[in-house]
Amino acid sequence: MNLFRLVLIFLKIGFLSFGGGWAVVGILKKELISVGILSAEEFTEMVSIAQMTPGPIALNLATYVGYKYFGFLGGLLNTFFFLLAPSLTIVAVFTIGRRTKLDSARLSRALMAFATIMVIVTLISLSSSRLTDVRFFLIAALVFFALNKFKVHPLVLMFAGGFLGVLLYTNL
Amino acid sequence: MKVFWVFLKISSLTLGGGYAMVPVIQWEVERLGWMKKEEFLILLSAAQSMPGPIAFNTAVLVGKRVAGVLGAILAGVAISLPPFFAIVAVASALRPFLNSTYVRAFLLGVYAAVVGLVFNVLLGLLKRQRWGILKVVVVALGVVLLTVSKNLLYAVFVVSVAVLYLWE
Repeated sequence: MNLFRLVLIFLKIGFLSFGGGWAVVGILKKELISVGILSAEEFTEMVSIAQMTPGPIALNLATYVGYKYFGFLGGLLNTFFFLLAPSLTIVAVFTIGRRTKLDSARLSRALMAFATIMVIVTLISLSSSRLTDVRFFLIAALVFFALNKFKVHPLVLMFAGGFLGVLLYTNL
Repeated sequence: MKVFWVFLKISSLTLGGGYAMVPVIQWEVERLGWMKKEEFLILLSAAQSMPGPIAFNTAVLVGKRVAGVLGAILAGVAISLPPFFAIVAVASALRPFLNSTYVRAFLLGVYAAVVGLVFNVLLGLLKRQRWGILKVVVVALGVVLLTVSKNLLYAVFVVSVAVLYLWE
């Protein structure tokens, strides 16, 4: 594993991060695990930490992986390259957008469908290693229910999930 | 320069990810009189249809609108700085404890909670769209292909977006 390869993965995936960070988490998991940068266990740790700190999830993932394996510089470079793609696209859209005619409502509907594909893939890939774990789905279901029925703040739910995890996964 | 401080403040005070940040950005922008509500909503939908974290895109677009290219750069840097240092701090603080059973169980619980949250995001996405047979088929095919092989990512992207753009 080297820093160059890691940065390249994040640069590549940055280009497809339509529809918010969750869309790319599933693909990131596949990429990072298949090239042997992370184990499934480490990925769990990473997602949890990235979600508990302020900032968009995908951006936090980029920073965290970079920092964990290559120190401060690694975190900095990985964050920069992950954001390079979105930044370039914004510039490109502003320059080209004035000249060509593209039905933007139609395009954003098509992109939204693509984002749906990606979020489903993320969901499958996040839960695939835990399919037989009842406790896992219990926590997920409780969080989903609390979020929808009682509008509890996501951050509160993260910590609640964590404490439930301690209760269920360690034999106190 | 004011753009920089505003976004630095928003980013360091908002926990809970990108979607929590957007309403705060909207509130600040309207309060400072940088933009009217309709203007912001147009900008937000532009931010949504580009790749990248939504909060980052929104910040860059607002920055560009208010203070040109320099504003865009400053806004982008300001919105990413606090998460960066938060991650670095948390990662270094947690490192010695990562082998503890309790910390591992806690992180696994958070991970399970994340699955619940993502399911909610998915539900929101499903509700916001009109569903026809074509769209269901394209989405289902895309999911199957990407689950089988990650190398099909770009193919799935190009084909699904093109098909839906031309037919919808």
